[in-house]
Amino acid sequence: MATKIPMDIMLTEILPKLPTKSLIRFKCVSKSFKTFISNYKFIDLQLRKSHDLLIIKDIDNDLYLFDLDTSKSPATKLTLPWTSFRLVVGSCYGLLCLQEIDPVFRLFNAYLQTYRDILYSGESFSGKSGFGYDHKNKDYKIVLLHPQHVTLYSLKADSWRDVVQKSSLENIGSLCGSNHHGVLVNNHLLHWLFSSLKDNIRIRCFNLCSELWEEDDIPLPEYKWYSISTNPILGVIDGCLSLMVTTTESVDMCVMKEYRNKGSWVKLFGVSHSNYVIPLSQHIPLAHNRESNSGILMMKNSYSSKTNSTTRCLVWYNSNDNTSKEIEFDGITSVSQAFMCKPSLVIV
Amino acid sequence: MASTSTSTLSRKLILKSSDGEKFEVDENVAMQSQTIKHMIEDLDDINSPIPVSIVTGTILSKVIEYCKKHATEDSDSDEQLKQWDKEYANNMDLNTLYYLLLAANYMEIKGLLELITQCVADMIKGKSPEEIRAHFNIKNDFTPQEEANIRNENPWAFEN
Repeated sequence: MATKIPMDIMLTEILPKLPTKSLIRFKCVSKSFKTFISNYKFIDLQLRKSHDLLIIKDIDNDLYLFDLDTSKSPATKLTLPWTSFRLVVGSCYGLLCLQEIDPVFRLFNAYLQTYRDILYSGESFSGKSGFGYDHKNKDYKIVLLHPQHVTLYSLKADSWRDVVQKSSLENIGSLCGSNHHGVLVNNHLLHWLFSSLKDNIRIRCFNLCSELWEEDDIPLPEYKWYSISTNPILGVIDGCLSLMVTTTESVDMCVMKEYRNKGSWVKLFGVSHSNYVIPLSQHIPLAHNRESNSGILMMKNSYSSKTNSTTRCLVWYNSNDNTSKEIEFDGITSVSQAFMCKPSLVIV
Repeated sequence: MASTSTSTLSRKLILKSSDGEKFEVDENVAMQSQTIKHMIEDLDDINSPIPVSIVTGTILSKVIEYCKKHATEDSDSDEQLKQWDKEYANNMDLNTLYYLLLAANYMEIKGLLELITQCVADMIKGKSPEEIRAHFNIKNDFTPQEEANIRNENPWAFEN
């Protein structure tokens, strides 16, 4: 094909079909290639069609990249441009939000290995935070929850500001358990579990586009157990909000198939305590196993009698026959957090 | 409804290539091309040949082969059709592929354009920027320093 392909076909029809790595390389073909690949519309298009990669943080605070589609390939250890970090707040639309000790946040494109440090010098905060993408303004945002208001960081403005809320956190209730980071649905809706005075749980949603707490609670499934003692864990499975609760008999996983539709809650599976699996993370989409179509990526504690210690591994949990199959990663001893993240061309 | 669809199926159109070759095809086959669809709407006499001006007879016969396969709705499953597409594209040499791409673009046949562009994308995804420039006759308009800067942003992307 030595002849000229019309440039418009090249750019609009062929480039979007290339993997992210090729695109990064082809930026230096010519100026028109670079301009086209760097355009936010193209970056957006690329993000929509690229498939998620798994990012694993192990107990030594190293990050690994793994492609679930080609599960034979080894996990790639990322050479991080910094020495250490504490934890991952969230993953959204091609970027990870990491939390540092100070607290300083760091937005990180794990694929391009570019990052931006975000200093925070406002009032002390409890670690209740969330990360997501405001698609209306095409802006990444970090939100910190304070008793009376929220503090928002906008990547576009590169600054923090306080946003006064109609309902204060104190009126909503107290945050459940260790559930510090918002559970993200649709890139812009962050959810937290609260417990109110009557020992009931409620799910509240913060909208990153309107920058407000949504008025109404997210409906809960009809169930007998609305109690904090059932150790409820909020999560996302395949884009749907999920809730896991522990009863005396079993651990039940429910998902809300249609957002805000109470009737659409279904019990996905129940497992016995002996086969206890935990949601991969509290704020990321869980991936379906493409091979068997029935697996859900979950975390599992595994006890080794040899070392007399418990490590965490990732498993494909099959809810049909209640079995789980461990995914082995070379070099990773114990998983501490895991996220799905799209390889993206987003520059931070 | 049944009688309408029968009469639609039986209508024939004549397509005329740039080098004067004529092809008689069922209307539903030709209608996969948006360009021809629009031409027919403006046409008083559908019996006169429809000129497909920039496409040669050799290429047009390939285009029609694709359109015929995709016009028959019931026979094949999606999987079989995909397999057929794959073999169809694999049997083309580069030159034919290139002219088919131009034809699919001109005739606005979405499926064929998708198939060919995907094929091209698969062919070039592992190539270096230099190979891309040579392949598609693209001029490098960066200064050496500018190019080096871009490479240094993500050196790993240039390793194989």
